[in-house]
Amino acid sequence: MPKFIRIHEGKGLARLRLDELPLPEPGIGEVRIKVEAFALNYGDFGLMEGDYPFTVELPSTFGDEASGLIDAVGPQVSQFRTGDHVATLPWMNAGYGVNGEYAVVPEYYVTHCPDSIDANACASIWITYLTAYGGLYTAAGLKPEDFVLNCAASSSAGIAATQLAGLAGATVIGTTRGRDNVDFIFETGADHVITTNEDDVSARIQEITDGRGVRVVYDPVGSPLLQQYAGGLARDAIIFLYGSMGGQETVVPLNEMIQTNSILRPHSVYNYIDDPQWKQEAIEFISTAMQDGRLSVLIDRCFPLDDFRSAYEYQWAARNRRGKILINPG
Amino acid sequence: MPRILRLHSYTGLDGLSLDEVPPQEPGDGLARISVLAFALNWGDMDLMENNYSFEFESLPARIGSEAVGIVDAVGPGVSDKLVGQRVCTIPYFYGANGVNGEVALVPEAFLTPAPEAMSDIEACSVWMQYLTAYFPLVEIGQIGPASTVLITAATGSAGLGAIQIARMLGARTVCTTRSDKNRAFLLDAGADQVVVTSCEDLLSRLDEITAGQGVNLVYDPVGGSLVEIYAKALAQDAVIVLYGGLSGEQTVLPELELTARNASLHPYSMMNYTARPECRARGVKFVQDALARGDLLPTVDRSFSLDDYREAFDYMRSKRIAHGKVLIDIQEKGPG
Repeated sequence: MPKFIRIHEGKGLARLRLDELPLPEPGIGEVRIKVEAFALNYGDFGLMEGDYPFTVELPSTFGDEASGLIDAVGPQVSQFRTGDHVATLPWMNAGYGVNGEYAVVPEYYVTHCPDSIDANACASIWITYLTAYGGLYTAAGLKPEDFVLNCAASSSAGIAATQLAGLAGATVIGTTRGRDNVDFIFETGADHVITTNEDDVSARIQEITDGRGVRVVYDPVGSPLLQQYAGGLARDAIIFLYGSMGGQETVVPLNEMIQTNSILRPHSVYNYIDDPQWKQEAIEFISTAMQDGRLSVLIDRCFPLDDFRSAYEYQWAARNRRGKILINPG
Repeated sequence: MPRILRLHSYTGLDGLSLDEVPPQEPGDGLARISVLAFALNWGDMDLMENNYSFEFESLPARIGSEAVGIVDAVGPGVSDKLVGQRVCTIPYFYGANGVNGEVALVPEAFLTPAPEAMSDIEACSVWMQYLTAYFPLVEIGQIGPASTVLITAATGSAGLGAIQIARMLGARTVCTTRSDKNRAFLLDAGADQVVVTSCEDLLSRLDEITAGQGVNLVYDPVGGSLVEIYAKALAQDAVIVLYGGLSGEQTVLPELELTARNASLHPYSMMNYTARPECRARGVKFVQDALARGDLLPTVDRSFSLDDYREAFDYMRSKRIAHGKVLIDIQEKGPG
């Protein structure tokens, strides 16, 4: 029987087990994918800890990002055929989940892989680039004159945001805690890097922006970093908070935000993906830019499925990763 | 010599004194007003403790942004036709030009004719409360007949202004207050629903009132732990407009609840919007038209003489039984 990673009751990574389950059949409007690669995401940890936009009944399959070949289609599927090379899109997929040898997904949340992009890269695109596209392009309407503060810029989400912001012509200021990742963040295209353990973050922002401040903040951390950069906000700034890596409650810096008329928007791609027009435009834009090389995913390391635990331990521990971590079931 | 209220140190009311100063000539773009009345606002209290959205370049500094008076001189670039007119000031980041006193200097752009049918006290109660509510309800939240607006600490004059504007727009209002004694007052003021937070469970009441649909806009000067409660009852794409910190507590962002509803939180000062000429013009026109139709009627609580300014501030922040604006009527004689 095929194998799937499932979350069980328990603590930490011991909750993840590789379970053999019967081959699932695609239902109405669903396709089944024989998975070649799936990507690990921080959101998986959030889901395990109940700190996520949705909850699941245990034991549960999980995961958002896979690529592979369609090997079966359910009734009423119109856009895909057996043999198509596809990737899955992020959505509120409670009860589904793609981290295993097979994935069954409604066709709405499947997209053809761009030509010339291999399976590993295809499984590495959609969460990070769609999330950044939704915030930076759709909600913030990023313009060339904007400064973007891209927090935790060495992460995969940060890399996607740096690339997309750069493509819009904006000036990207990446942040990172220590010096280890500074060179790497410059390599990914950032114009400036602030090390938050050493620098006065707001003062550096004011200096870099010549007193204008950052109009867009793309932040997976929240407090205490938010308090460090609150003095560097531009008028009408938008803070997209797409995680809580700070490990503490995020406190609203009321005065700084009132002074700059800023807005705090907790941000998730799940709030964008169900708009068909948005989905189509975003996918077209990103696919085109991937094919012509204006955007490119970085892959740090691939693991075989039987080593999934090492993969998660590596994701959890490694501070100096250079892109996505993938598992290859094949 | 005219008397004006000036802040000498950021020590709250103790830092404030009534000073006599020689009258100043209005500079470029400014009109001088012989003040008839000015209103007290919570923001003044925060400003006096240096806990506000701006601070002064130097002290002593004049405070206050809401007055009615007669223009008695104009500076270069300002039309003489203003002289002799009764005007209201539009609140803005006023820097050195606070209006609390017997005279005030105000940029022409922040003056508007006082509504003729209104007394000085009434006319002085219009702009802070209605403009503060106008931008969130009309421009930020774009509420309409299908919307539910949660108005917290609703007995405050900003809350009362929001109730009236929400009614005009056809929206449903859910108003909170801590004391059961305010229930009848708020229903009288036009609230559709009142939740007394000291004895009712706000979350279950919001679920019940909105049939689980949630509120579209929260208009909140309280913040703190209250946010965590109503965050669980937000509608899709809801906006929380936080325009004060009356709770005295930190406001923790309810990140998961907001993410689940694609909601956002906007720390807000009306002055950011009156600073923009087009925004200001839209807001002023909306309120003037509504006043002319009789859709808005400011609630005045009580006025004091200038000599009694301390009592007036103490009264404003006391646990009042009555509600509405607290003002200084310059024409009223004090006990001294």
